[in-house]
This record gives sequence, structure tokens and C-alpha cells, in this order.
Amino acid sequence: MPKKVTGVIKLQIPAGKATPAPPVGPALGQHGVNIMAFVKDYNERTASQVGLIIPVEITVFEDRSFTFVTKTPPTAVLIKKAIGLETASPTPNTKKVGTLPRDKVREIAELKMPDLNATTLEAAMKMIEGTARSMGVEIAE
Amino acid sequence: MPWGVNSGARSAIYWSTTVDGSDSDRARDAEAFFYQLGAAGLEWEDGVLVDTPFADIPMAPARPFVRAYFPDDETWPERHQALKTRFEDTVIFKRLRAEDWENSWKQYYVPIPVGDWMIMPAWCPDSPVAPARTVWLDPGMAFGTGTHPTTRMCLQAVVSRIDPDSRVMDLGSGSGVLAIAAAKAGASEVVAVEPDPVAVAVLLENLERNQVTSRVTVVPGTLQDVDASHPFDLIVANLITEIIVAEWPRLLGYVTPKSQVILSGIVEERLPEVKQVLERHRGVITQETHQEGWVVLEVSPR
Repeated sequence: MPKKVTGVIKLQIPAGKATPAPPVGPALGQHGVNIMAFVKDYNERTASQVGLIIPVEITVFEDRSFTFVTKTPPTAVLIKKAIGLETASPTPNTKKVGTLPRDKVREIAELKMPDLNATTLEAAMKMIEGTARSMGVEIAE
Repeated sequence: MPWGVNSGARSAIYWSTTVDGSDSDRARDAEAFFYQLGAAGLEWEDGVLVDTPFADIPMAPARPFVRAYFPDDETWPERHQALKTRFEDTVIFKRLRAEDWENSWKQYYVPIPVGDWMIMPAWCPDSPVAPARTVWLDPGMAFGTGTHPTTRMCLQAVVSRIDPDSRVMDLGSGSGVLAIAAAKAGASEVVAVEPDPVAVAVLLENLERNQVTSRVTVVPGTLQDVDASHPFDLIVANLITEIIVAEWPRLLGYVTPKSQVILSGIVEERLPEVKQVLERHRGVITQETHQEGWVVLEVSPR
């Protein structure tokens, strides 16, 4: 079947636990996508990663059929998981809420590498550190 | 809204909150901040093109943004203030009435007449034409919902070409719409070939729904997985230009000089590529139909 793309929807939703509630419903509904078909398939494909939020890119074609690919979890989510952090700092400049060891930065950078706009691991690590700082998380040497 | 769509069932109000993402630091900050405020998920756009299979014409990416949805309840004023303070004039708030999301998309699907046939949404049992000329589909991830001009053009070509006892191959069956129509039009045997396991599941459901399971054989795979020892009278291939061009020479192993082949999924811009390969490999075009930028070719192998 030939395809003209009429929409690309990018979401971050809990692995294995997507529901038709926002953001899924409003984002997909306006494109006429069968929301339950998406939810069912997304949950099936991400069942093994429950507990993480997974980005997904959904392509909608002109006959309203769709396809999707899942990506690596967002950096902020991985940082929180790595150091057992509940919430990031509301004032990251003044109030620090945790410390992320350098080897964890590397680990996250390696995992995120395929989805980051970075050519070297060092560049990817810099991006991870930037996100950590914006959350009030310090980097330990 | 017809067809049992109940839009009032879980009415709720949300605030869609969109932060301009053209600055990537701000986008990352918004992402983290939304989660901190308790967002269950995000919608975002980074302006990077998505590499999509089957897309002959990809879409330009939208302006970057990060968006979350928060319920309009007693917690909203505090969130609202925090968001305004953090993002100032780069954040846009929009009040939104939630619909019954599970069903609201169905309004986009209506019965589609194709000649004297009908393609009906699975949730509409009563067709205005005879069941023998109706294909019921539950559209999901599988391609072929009848809203696409190539599906309609192919369906018309298929049902007009079928004699009783025809052996038919539907290459790239998707939702199964063409295989079902072929079986209902009187084909003695239909082989539906589909490599995508998700589509195969939808296809099997649709065969059952239309009570044609016994006359349609599903081959989960590609042309190479189809037994070539019995030629087909009619082959319909509603695919994309690349695959048609690549598979045409191989398709000749499944036909006789009397067979008809329907090639579809060709955008007008790429028609010359298909014609070139047909000329080189024994393909004579007997009919050429254009609709909304798409072309269907009926071809006789010589």
C-alpha cells in the first residue's frame, strides 16, 4: 500500500500503560487514528519496560492507517531512575537535589546515543550533564 | 455523530500547555518541568524528520514544541502559575474538552461506496448493499481502509476482473480488503500475502468478520514464500513503486499469458520507472487509471 504521510505525532508515554487519556487521545484523535489499536500495540511492544516513559514516533498516512517506532526513554527519566530521585529541583540553580556519578552519565549517554543529535560519546555526555543540571542534579567526578 | 459514537461518556476538561521548543535547552527544560508537575506523558516535536517506511512523500516537520495536558481541577491554578513563571511568553495554554477518545476517531470512518460495492466500518452491521458486495473492515494499523484512492481503484478493478474459479493473489494484503472482495466476487481461491505480523493479525480478523476464511489462504511473508507451481489468473499488487519495480520480474513466475496483473500504489511522478521495467520484462499495459495523483495499471504479461 502506497503512503502519503499526513501527520507525524511524537509522544512520551508510560511503557505498557498507555491509555486513551491525554496526551494519546487528543494527539491521535485529531488525525482519525484508531486510538485503541495504537494503545494495544504500544502496550504490547513496551510491556517489558514498565516503569519507564518511552518516546514513540507515530506516522499517520492519508488513509489514517499508522505505524510507529519507539525510542529510548527521555534523559530526565533515566537520570531520576539512576539516582532514585522522585522529583527534580524547582530551582535548579540554588537547590540541588542529588548527584549523578560520571559513570552513570556515560551509561545514560551510551543508551541514549542512537536518539541523540551527537556524533561522539563526549558530546552525548555533555547533553546528559546539561539535563542533569537543569534538574538540580550535580555531576560527580 | 453517527455509528454509536458517544462523545459525552467521559467528559472532562484539560489544559493543553505548549512550550515553544525552538531553543533545545528550553525544550529539555520544559520536558523535565512537565514531569515534575506530574504530567503522565508528553507530546513533542523536535523538528527532525521521521524516517518512515512506505512513505513515498515524507512530510515536513512541524515547528518544535513540547506539550503536556493537565486536568482542569483544583490543582491547576498552582501549576498554571508555576508554568507562567518558568516559561513566561513561550508558553501557550489552551482549554480543551476531553472526548470519549476511545471512539471519537470513528467519526472519520464512513461507509465508502465503490461502484456497486461498499466498504463498511466493522461497527456498522447494516450495509446498504448486499452482504455479498460488502467488505466490513475494522481499521487498525493495517493498510487498506478504503479511504485511500488506490484501495478503491484496485477494488473496482479486482471485482470486475474475476471469473468464477479464478485463482487470485493479493500481494501486500494489509487489512485484507482486496482479498475479501476477490473471495466475495467469486474467486475459487485467494492467496493473501502480507509480511507485517501486525497486519496479518488484523487481516485474519477481517477474513473472519466477512466469513471468507475458508477461501482465503494467508501467507505471512513475501512473494518468495508463495508456491509458484500453480499460476494465478489475477494478481493484485497494491504496494509502492520500489517494491513493484523490484518484484515485477519475479511476479512473471506466477502468471500465464492469459493472466491479469493489477499494479497499484504508484504516484504519478514515479510512473515512468514502472513503465520502464514493464517494457523491459514482458509487461503490456491494457488499462491505466488515474485518481488523486495515484495510478493503477492493468497489465498483461506477454
